[in-house]
Amino acid sequence: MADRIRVTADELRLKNFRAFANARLSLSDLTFLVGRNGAGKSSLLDAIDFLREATSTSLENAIDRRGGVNKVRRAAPGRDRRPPLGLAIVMRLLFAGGMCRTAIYGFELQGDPNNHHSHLRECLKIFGGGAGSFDRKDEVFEPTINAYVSPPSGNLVLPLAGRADELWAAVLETVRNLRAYEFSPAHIAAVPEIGERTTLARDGANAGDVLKSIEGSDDHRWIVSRLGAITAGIVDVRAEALLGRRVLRFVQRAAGGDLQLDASQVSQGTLRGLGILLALRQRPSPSVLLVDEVENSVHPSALAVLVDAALASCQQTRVVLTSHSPELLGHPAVRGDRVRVIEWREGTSHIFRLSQATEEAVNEIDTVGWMLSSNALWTGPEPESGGEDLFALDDSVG
Amino acid sequence: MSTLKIVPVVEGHGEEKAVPLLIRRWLRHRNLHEWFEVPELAVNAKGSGKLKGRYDKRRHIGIEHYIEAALRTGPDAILVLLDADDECVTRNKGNGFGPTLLARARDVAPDLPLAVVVANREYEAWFLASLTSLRAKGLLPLMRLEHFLRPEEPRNCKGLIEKLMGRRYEEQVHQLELTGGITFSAKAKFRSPSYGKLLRDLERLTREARRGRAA
Repeated sequence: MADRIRVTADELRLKNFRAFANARLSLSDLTFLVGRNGAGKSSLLDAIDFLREATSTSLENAIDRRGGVNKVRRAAPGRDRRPPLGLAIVMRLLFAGGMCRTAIYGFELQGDPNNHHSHLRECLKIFGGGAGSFDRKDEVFEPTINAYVSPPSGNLVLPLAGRADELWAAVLETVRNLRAYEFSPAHIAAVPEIGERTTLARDGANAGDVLKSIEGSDDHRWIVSRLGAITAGIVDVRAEALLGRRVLRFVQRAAGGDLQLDASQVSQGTLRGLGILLALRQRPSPSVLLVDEVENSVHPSALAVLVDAALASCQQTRVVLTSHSPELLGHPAVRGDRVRVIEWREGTSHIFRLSQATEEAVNEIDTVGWMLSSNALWTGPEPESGGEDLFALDDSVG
Repeated sequence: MSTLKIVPVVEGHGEEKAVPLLIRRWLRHRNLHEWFEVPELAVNAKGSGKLKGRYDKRRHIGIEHYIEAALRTGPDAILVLLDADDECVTRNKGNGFGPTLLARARDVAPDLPLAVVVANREYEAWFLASLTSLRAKGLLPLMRLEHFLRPEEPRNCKGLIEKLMGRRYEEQVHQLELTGGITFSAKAKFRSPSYGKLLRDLERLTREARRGRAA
């Protein structure tokens, strides 16, 4: 149903969410995120997860899993009434007839002293004409089209509304397909019970199930060929069933014949590489895919394979790679306009673009990686942030 | 009013945090801290000899390359600081190690207040020049030290500091910690002429930067 509307995520907005007071992450086709330890990258990862969980399971679950509203709202000194926390995503909607619209979907929560949320505002705004916008405040739901949807108390209305309208369904699908990953080779190597999920878990623990779901496809062959470029000799990787559990089986070419290896016998770099490649080619394609610290356990020479793989996948997915690695950031794909810097300043995290002079100076000699390692990766004077209204469209978008 | 920006350029891992801290402390000492900002990390030409080496853009060698990198943030002044190690620091003749580097830096940024300070022989000599203050602040223990009055003479100041501390000197931690206690007294300037030059150059840079803003 939603195939007639193609949605591209353009920006994430965070307001009083964990380390961020008011920040925006504008998304390029491929975005590289750099920042020192403690700058706020984990908060950004959690924002993506929070948005996805709130629309996939329930908002209450997403809050409970994090220990209550006060745990996700930005910590601030004093006992004054805290401003609401909010998350939103800015999207470009391309309709079958070629019409293009900008939309913003998100929600704001006000916490109460008992660590629950007391007020909820949820908005979908379609800019440039056309129906489909709605504004929901607690129990009051005001859509611009006729829809007999009753907002569930304390939960988001979009998961229900998505059944009533194809535009809402497309927006819902986009938010549900936000993905953030912190791969753990140990979890990928574990032998979990067979599941039915085709979407990759945050730590990659169900890599076998996801691989099984694409086995024999072009995407499977694509993954195997890149894995062979990361780890010499790998010619196949399969997901097998053993006593109700999912086992990864790697085939590595050796002098005396092919070796059959299980996940505990291959390197951590191979497992991480598999996780990243699966994340890029899982079904459905993520709308935004953030991979944290791509370079962990991966040899510098293999990093280029992963960046090339991300570049080859960013037609259908907005890929965000966080990295501290000068090698990775020395890749020619790391152009100045694709780099965002997270910095912790004066008690809050901010997201910056590079200064214009720095952006223009990025070339094959002065790479972003060299600038990072020389402390000369200069940011612009102002962080990317918006006004008070989380759902307002401004000049930076559209 | 927007603040003026001093960008430090250094050549060592420890210095990349210590030098910005030293400048910030000096600005506060001179009550200029509301006028100026200093990046948290100095531009770092990692590897000894990267600044003094002959300009080679492809290999990131030469002071010119790092001045160009610093210029991209739109600074109001640039301070280059490096260790002399075994280089001969000829003073008062205008043709020593520092003046030569300064002339090369000026070719890249002719209109910007610039200074090149060469620590003789290394940054840690300035800790020995500030020994009384560091001891008073409890950052170094009381112990007799041979080169206390002539800190620029010994070749291995890091070794002497290590001996004083009685444990391994970790640049990233101890250089920052000891910089937090360094003094700006006349005695320290007298004991270490290169430290005196740093403080004179900071006076000059801040004066010129403010004059540049006013113009």
